[in-house]
Amino acid sequence: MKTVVYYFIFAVLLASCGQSANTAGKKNIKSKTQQLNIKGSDTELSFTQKEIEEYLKKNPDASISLTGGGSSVGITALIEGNTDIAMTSRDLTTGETNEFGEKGGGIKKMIVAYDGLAIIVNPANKVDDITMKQLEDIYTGKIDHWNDLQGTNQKMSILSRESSSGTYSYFKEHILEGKSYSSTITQLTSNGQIVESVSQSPDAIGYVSLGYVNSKVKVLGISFDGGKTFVEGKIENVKNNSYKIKRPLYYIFEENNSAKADPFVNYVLSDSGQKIVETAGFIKVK
Amino acid sequence: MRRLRKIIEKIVEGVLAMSAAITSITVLLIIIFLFDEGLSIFSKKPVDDDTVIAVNSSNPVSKLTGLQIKDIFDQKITNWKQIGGKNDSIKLFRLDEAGTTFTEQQMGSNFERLAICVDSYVVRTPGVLLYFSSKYIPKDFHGKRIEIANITPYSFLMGKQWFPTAQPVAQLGVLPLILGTLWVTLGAILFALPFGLATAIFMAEIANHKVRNYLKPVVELLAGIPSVVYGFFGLIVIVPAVQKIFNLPVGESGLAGSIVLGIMALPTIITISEDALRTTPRALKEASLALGASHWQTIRRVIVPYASSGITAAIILGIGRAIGETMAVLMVTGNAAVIPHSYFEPLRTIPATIAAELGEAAYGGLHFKALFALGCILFIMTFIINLIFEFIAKKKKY
Repeated sequence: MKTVVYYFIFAVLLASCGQSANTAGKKNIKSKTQQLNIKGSDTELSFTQKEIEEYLKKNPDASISLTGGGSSVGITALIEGNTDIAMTSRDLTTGETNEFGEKGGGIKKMIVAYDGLAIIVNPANKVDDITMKQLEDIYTGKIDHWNDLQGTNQKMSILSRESSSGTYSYFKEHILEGKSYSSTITQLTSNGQIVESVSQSPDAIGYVSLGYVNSKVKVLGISFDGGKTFVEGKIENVKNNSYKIKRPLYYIFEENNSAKADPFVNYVLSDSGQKIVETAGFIKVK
Repeated sequence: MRRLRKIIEKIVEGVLAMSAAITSITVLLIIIFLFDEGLSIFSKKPVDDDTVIAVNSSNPVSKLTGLQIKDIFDQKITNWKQIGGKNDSIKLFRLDEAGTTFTEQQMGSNFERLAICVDSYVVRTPGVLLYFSSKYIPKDFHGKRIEIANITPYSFLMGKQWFPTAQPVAQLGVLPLILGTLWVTLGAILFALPFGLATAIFMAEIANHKVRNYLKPVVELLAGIPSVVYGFFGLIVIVPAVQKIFNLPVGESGLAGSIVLGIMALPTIITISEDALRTTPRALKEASLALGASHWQTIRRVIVPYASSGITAAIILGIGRAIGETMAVLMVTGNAAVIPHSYFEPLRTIPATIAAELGEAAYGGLHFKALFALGCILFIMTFIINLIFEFIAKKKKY
């Protein structure tokens, strides 16, 4: 008799589990229809987070989820329909444009900010400037000692982002001119990790968005004319276009989804939204 | 009443059998899915479907390996002579260059005449290497298309370059990743084995009850810490420490990965070898002591040899734990896809590669399949480890 009672209790428990799981599932679906999903570039993560905080203050009913992972992760998610807005720090490749074309409906590409790419080294490093050619040679593996740049006789430790990063692709296209990275470079998973690692190693060199630069690292001046003049990596120089490693940061979404995406994107493009972009260390669009 | 009870028992037995069946089927399905996705990479070419790579029809070169094409686009190969052609420099021609080569008038405002422009360009440029989308290649194309070899198991397993997103030809060589995984696992075991074994012997034989009762939960607690926490700990504490102590240019290295993985494998090694040590029959121990052997001699000559198969099993399970670890190694090993030569350089493991790249790989694409093939390799590795474990655990002697 006792066992029968136990079975009964067990069965009731099982049933109630199923019940509660069901209701939980329903709740999820309900909130999902309102939730705006944003995914992609780690570079854009920092200011987008602040934009969302401010946006939610004004629209307490809205629900937004934000995930990083890299520009390619965001674009792949948008193609597969797993996100509403993809943040990307590089343009779409022809392959990706084709995939959106096959899906139909068209996409909207909004530039929400501009970003300068800083080349950073440890403050203890004697080298202050670098030419574009040297930078290319470092990352393609032709130069690997600091004395090639009038520095100490130490081997460089060359830091890069992961291949999912838009910064990785941008750097490959525009600084390496499409050539492959050397396979010996160290790949780290975020801007923050590169800054941290460079601040700890006297022989490291890395590239990060200007918005992530802090006092623990030194930004190298860059020569775009083969060593005649050097331009400091500063926001002002990016603004007046003398510092040429400048790239647009996009929000991309599908046109038939714009009703859902527009309110937030418009907020980011508004004056108060652009102010947040500026305080985060990026350059506003207008 | 009795009949009711019998029926209920039958139902419960049925439910249990069902759960077992569902579990086995799920496992089988996962394995089938894994190998189905992973093995399909071997029938593919390492380029996008609509990529066309072509040369002038007078060019004697008709086949290029993926590596040669990469070297050409990296401008390491600049003359056709280097790859068995005529003495003529290679002129790359990509879609991006169309805008600077042809005027808008020539191409047409919607690129409707681009295909004709491309065709005539290839015909009049003997040294051209064309990389274009098939959309802009005319039907009566006068150039010669270059054959690109399919991915073979040999080129996949023995290839030394891992550039899955390289354009136009993806480089899918997993040898550095396999060796990186094995290398960091070996380091982890070399690090964890002395510590683990020493702790196990201490807990089983030397420590008194009080210490042991305190130590055991602590070790088990170690197993419950999420791996991302280990990774974070490694990044903040071990990476800078390794960098300082060994005076390395950068602390993210195989050594840092080995230490973190070693710590993660410790609980497995300690608990299993301690259990093995404890199963030594009392009679054996007492016989040894009665013969005049000291406590330490008994441990060294009787208890450890008796438990050796259990200890081996512990090591192998520890390897199993370390080999598949993802988050922690991703954060501390530096992820450079090179064949490791020392513990002081960054390396890249299979699980870290899958974790870092799966998000960006388009569903069903080449990169996606390559990552699944990596998953297959990892599965085979852990499967072999488990087989060895079974074999050793069964071989219990005495």
